[in-house]
Formats: sequence, structure tokens, C-alpha cells
Amino acid sequence: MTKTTIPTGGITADAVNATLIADDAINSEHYTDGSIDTAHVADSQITTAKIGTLTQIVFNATQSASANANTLDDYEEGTWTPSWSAGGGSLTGTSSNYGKYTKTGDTVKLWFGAVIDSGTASSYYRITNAPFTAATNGSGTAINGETANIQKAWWDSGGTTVNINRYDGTVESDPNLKVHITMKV
Amino acid sequence: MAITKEKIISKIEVVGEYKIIQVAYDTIIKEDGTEISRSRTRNSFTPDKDVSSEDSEIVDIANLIWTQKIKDSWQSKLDAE
Repeated sequence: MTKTTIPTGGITADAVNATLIADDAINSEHYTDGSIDTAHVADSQITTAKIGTLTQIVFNATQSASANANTLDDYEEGTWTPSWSAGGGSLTGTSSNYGKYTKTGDTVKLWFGAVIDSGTASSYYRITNAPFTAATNGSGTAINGETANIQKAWWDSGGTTVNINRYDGTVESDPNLKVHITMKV
Repeated sequence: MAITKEKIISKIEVVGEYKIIQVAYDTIIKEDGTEISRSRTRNSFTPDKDVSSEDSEIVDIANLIWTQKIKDSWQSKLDAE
């Protein structure tokens, strides 16, 4: 197929208005990366279009926050290193410490844990540096991989602290905590 | 072929009533100057944290926004939890 270069301004809006463009008529053979950008496609010009099989959607590194309830405005995945402490005493140390997150819009899923040398902790274990600030109070569950006992996890709005302990308000000794929670941010 | 690795601060956000500092870092791998990999790590700092060993950008922001009133307010929140 012979490719023809259309000069800037070569096709005006009026020239293509109401023109049917058949399926597959525009594909990767015709457009290079970056050739369609915000300067070329105005808001509302793509409305009820069906989007076929995508390979990737890339969001801007800096979120452009939307107040529209139907708009997905952010996606991010990454890691962090949780900082552990304890209530009712102090930890001796931690090992195998890990933290991963995925943020979709205003919802963040956190996976984190550590093998904890519980020291004198008696009322809860705590991380103090969740990667995002909670917008609401919340709760979830965790598990102690050593005993397979379920623990509760909870947090308060406005902070980056997540607490973990047993349902009776005490802690298990030297747990291997594995936490998976969903937080509104 | 030269492979390089650098870690940059890609985003610093100050969030909420207690001025929590959220930091996103990108680790970038380049081959002969062309980026071939990028991964994201994060950390957050509450007003009770010692950030003196962090990047100077973070230290400067913390010194600016973490007033004694903010620190006291955060401590009151922790005490109430």
C-alpha cells in the first residue's frame, strides 16, 4: 500500500463530518506513536466509540484528578517498604518485609507483611507509612502465616497508619503477618 | 553498551489535614541513554517522622509545612487512636 502524507490542515473538520470510517480503516499502519494527541482530538469527539483490543493504557505520571464519578483518572502500581512498630511495647525487629500496591482511581489495594520478632508488643502491630493517605476509616483482615489465624487490620482517615492484631485486642507472638487490604484514598 | 540506573523523585504530594508527605520515586534503567525500564516505589512521611536523612526536597517541604501546630494535631490524633 502506498502511503500518502497529508499536510497539516489538509483535512478540515468539515471535510470528514458525518463521514463513515469503516472498521479497521484506521489502524497502526496509518498512525505513528504520538500522531494523535490532545491537540488533534477534541473533547467529546470520541463519544460512543467502541474501543477494540488494546495493548496498554498509559496514564500521566501526574494525576489529572477528575470529579466526574464516571471518569477513571489514575492508575499506578509499585512497591514500598513498610515501617513497623508496635503498641503496648516495642518490637525486637522484622525480616522478609515487603509491600506492594495498585492504585486505580481513588482505590488502593495494599499487599504487605513481615516476619515479626514481637519483643514486648502486646496490643497491636502497626505500619506507619502506607503509601497513600486514607480518605476514610476502614478495616480488613490479615493472616498470621505461622498459625494460620486470622487477624484484623484497621486504619483511620487522614493517616498512613494500619494496625493489626487479634480480634480480642492482643497480638500473637512472632507472627508472619500477611495483609491484603483495600483503602479509599 | 552502557547500562545505567538512576533513582529520581517523580512526585511529592502534601495530603490532608495533617500535611502527610507522599513521595513517589522512579528507578530508571537506561541502555546507551535510552530508557528500557522504569519502576515505581513510594514512601510517606507523617509529621512525627524524622526526615533529616531524606532527600533535601523532602526536608525542605517538611520544615516548611510541619508547624508545631500540625505536629501537635497529629500527635493528638495518634493518642486518640
